[in-house]
Amino acid sequence: MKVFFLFSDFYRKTIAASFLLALCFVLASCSNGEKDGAILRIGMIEEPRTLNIWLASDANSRKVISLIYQPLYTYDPDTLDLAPWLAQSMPEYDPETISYTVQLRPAKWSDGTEVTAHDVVFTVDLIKDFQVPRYYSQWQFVKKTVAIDEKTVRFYLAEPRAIFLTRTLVNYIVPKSQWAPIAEKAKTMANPLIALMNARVEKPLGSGPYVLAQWREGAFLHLVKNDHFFGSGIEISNRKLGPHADAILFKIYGTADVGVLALKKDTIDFFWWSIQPGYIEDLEKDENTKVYLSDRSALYYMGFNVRKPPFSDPAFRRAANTVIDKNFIIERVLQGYAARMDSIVPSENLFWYEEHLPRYGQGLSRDDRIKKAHRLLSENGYTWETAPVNRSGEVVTPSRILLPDGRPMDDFTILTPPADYDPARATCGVIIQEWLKDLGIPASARPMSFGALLQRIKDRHDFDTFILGYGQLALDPDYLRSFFHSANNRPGGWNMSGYSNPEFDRLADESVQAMDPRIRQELIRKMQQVVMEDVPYIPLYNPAAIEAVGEKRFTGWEQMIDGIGNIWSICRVKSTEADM
Amino acid sequence: MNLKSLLLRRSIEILVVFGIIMTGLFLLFHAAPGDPISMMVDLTMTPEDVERMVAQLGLDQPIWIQYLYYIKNFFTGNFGTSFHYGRPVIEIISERLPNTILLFTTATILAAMAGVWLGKIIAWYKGKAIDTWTTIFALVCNTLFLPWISLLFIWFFAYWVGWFPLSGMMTPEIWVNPEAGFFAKAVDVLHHMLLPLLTLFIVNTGSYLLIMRSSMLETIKEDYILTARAKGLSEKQVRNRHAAPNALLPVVTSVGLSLAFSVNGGALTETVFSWPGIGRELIFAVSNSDYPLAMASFLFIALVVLVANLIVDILYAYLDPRISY
Amino acid sequence: MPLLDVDNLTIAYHTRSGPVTAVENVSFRLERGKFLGIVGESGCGKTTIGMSLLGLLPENGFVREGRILFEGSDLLALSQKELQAFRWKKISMIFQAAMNALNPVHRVGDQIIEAIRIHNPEFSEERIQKEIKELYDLVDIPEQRIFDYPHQYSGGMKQRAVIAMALSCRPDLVIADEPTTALDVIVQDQIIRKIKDIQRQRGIAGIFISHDIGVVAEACQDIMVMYRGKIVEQGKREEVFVAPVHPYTIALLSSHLTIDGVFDFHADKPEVACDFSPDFFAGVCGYAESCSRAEAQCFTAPPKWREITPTHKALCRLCGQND
Repeated sequence: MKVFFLFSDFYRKTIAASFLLALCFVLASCSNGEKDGAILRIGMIEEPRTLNIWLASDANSRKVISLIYQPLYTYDPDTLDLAPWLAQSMPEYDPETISYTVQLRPAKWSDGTEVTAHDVVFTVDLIKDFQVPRYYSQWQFVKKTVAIDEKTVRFYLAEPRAIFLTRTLVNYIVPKSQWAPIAEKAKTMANPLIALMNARVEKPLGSGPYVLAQWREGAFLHLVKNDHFFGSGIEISNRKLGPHADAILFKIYGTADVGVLALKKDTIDFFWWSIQPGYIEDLEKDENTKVYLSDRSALYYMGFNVRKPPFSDPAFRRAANTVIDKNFIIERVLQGYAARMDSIVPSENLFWYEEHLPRYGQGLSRDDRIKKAHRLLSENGYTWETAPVNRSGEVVTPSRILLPDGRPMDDFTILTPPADYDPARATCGVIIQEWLKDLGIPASARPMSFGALLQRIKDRHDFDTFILGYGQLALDPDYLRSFFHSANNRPGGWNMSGYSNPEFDRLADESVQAMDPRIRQELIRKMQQVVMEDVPYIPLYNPAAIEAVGEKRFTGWEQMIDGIGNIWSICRVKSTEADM
Repeated sequence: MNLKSLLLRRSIEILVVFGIIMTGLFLLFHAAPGDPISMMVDLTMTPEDVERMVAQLGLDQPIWIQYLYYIKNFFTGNFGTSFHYGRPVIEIISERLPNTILLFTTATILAAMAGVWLGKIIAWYKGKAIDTWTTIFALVCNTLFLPWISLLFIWFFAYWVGWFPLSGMMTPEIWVNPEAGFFAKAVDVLHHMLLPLLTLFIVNTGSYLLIMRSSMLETIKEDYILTARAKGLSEKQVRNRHAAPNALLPVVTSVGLSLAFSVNGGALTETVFSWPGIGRELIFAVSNSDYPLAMASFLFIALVVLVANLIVDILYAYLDPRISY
Repeated sequence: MPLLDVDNLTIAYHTRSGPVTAVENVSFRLERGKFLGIVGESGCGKTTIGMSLLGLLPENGFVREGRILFEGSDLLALSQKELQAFRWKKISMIFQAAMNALNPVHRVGDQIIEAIRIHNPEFSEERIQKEIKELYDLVDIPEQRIFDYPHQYSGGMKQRAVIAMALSCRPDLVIADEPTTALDVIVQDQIIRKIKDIQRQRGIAGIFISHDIGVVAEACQDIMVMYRGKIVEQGKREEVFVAPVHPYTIALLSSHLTIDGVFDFHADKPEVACDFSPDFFAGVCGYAESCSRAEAQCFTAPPKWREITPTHKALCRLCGQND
């Protein structure tokens, strides 16, 4: 009973204390306005999960890691060709021994020790020893890696592999001094690979422009300038490198809304996240912020399960491609901030992109698209009780389409990720469903949780059609082979459509070994033609990367494919205050 | 029955329920589609990579063996390692949980105290304008969509007026400054905490106010309130000594349980305020099939709720002399 | 000067369909040390009278007319604060539903002490302890039960505790509202005896409100019979019970058969209805419709007060005609 009498007094005290505290903070907030001009503040949407390079799979971890670990080669921002990075020059290829020789730059790890050929050898051997996921497949055809001298390394390939240059050599090199003890210990464990991936690296030793000073879990990452960075003051790809900021602070803003507010309020200089088009207008009005629209190397597409009818019929898939209005999707669903895709390779990827491809419905009105698709289907034996186009050539509402054998087509589903995961893809599903109905094709869109979706499509092959996407495709188009080579048509394999075409397989196999870029370019372009003729995937759109920066304190962002969040920008941005 | 045997009986109950929850969780997660490895849409991950990972993580073993490992791990205090963090789950939880408790439990306590206090007073003015308006206000607060009001508050108080930081838990600039002392850092965290606290406080107070108010209105009808008035007690004495303690009884359960549930934080609130709490981790773990992290978090929350239930029961018996065990 | 002088008291309640009169033109006097019984079926307004004496009408109730004089001072004119000081000290109450009159979360003794303390702030702790022991002694509850919780008491004990509480501030007047209703007959009898004893010992005046004529007859010297908010007959116990005048009183008594063999009465047993007919307040006798003796004039003209003896009167056109 006494408890209750105490309560009221307790209340009063608590409330009074709260007021006092509140007052304290308001006062405190007035006094901490001072800022260090040389700190580059970058906003992220989520905290990195890990800085263990072998485990990291999420985008935010990769962003931070990309500033610490460096590859032998990277992409030139203008040409997207390889540019020597840790390497001194382009590799020398010896067709006799199928070997590449790479000369390293004078470069140091952040502890001041030299980056040597032994580090390269160690990295490759570690990946191969542990069969590290994501890396192993890119290195497994490297038979032997040898350190010729301290700064020269030679890779012996088991067979010619075109991707060695464009995929393999852009991987990061890790320091032997830090990883060798970890690897030794991991090998003694029951699950060495897991032990390696779960190894804790408090201060990753890197060769990049910045080095981790402090990671306050849940709050921020503090990186400071690496005084030993090899690029400081030198010029690569016609760009003089810094870095100029003394430090980088990564701050976490859980939503884009708050991230954008942070930009406008000048609490961050760059929000490293592609924002929705809806923010553009507001940000452009603000004189301190600037929006960068960049092309991306991405692919959003609709895929068919060509293992079963009616999807096994290329004519059916072509008709579907014809009736889909990609421009409408881009204008209405993506508010214009996307590029139309007519091949699996984004058109921005100039070197590999094939221009001469079937156009299907491109440039046609809705009625004309329906007419063209109707013609395509009729020619291939499909019939209707009421056809989508009547005798006088008018478009009408059709009855259900009948297969060439006369049976009505069964209902089928278009699986999409749920709207909360990606509203654009979920909406596309519904729109495409309606377009298909114009042809009497009984499709219905069905959003499904991402895990279940992937399991059905990738592992169980239990689906009709789906809409998925790859937000960041590599620049090297080797993915064509992953998507469509019949060898990858297996549970868990990336040929989720089950596409199988001996002609394509032959071209793909050839392209793997085509060491001459010109020849490989030809093959890759031919592969696109074959695929777009058969359309197991209907490429839909390639959304733009929309990024924003605060212009007040830092300038000099480098725009390239996938946006301004890249190693070049980090090495090049300059504080505006430093000039004064 | 005395307290001792109550405790014994309830502890056994808790153990049984906990065991059921443990098994249920395990089955639920293993029945859910998508394993943590194939969830990664990463073209560089080949099927061979996936297979190797699955084998090394022991996910290819028969389900009952995995279950035995799970039980064994639990009893050895090892909750496993998060697939995505590569760190012991217990470490992640013990890193995030204090943040959640700091914000959500504080908010729940403050909101419960304020709500109960306001509800107690407001009930006394039933039918008057102040009661009508307060009730409407509480209802509105109670039905507010938390992320929306959070964003609105951030925009107004943090961005427009500029009283508070936009989000997060600390100002990195202060924390990386070697000269900043403990006091400056403490003030910084509290300063960051204020806006989310205020938001949660406003939204939660409404519901406690309404519960307390309706409970008070029920109590006021009781005969002993009339007795108290007839005895010549002042209205305040009647309210505080006779109405409130009785009205508080049903509210105790509600407050006790929401205190327990406050440890799971709120994924949306934590996201909007970039508060590094357990709620976001939970959602992340579930949606990415990070079984060890998700299961350990759920087990922890289950345990807290079960124990809180027991505490509420004991407290109830202490507050209400009619109940004895 | 009488202890209590109620004059022409009219009480009404605000309802959705306008004010409804619950008690109309009630007048009576009570001398020190005397017990007055108010009898009537439930809903006739007896409890409303009791509550009005303590200023405890429900929020929608109000005194429309009349005066309540206690020791010559007007109760209706007291401020909230004065009223609080007045309650229990001068008039206390034994409540209708004793089971719920005690707060379940506080110890019984504490609830009694609370009343003593409020009205006697000058009392020392020892004095209070002494007072409460005396009270418990008075109502025959063992001392060691003082600080039990209400739920640990039996029904009869609770009722006695409530009596003790009512006496705790040595009031001049105790209103007992259905003090025995929920109790079984034997306990009922004990309680009534207890009340009578205490009345004798302390010389307290009382108002005994009950629908049970037997209970009232046993304890009270004066009787008031109420029907639908009005007093229909009042007088000395012997007058009202032996020679009832109003047909309603007669009906009430006949339904009770014999009262302790003291008053013997036989009559027809008419149905007793209790709905408010709309024309009741128009002034026509409210009982006319149920009355077995009603004549044409009863439905057209208001009833009249008839004085049978100086202390006995009834509100009926027909009174006196039957004897």
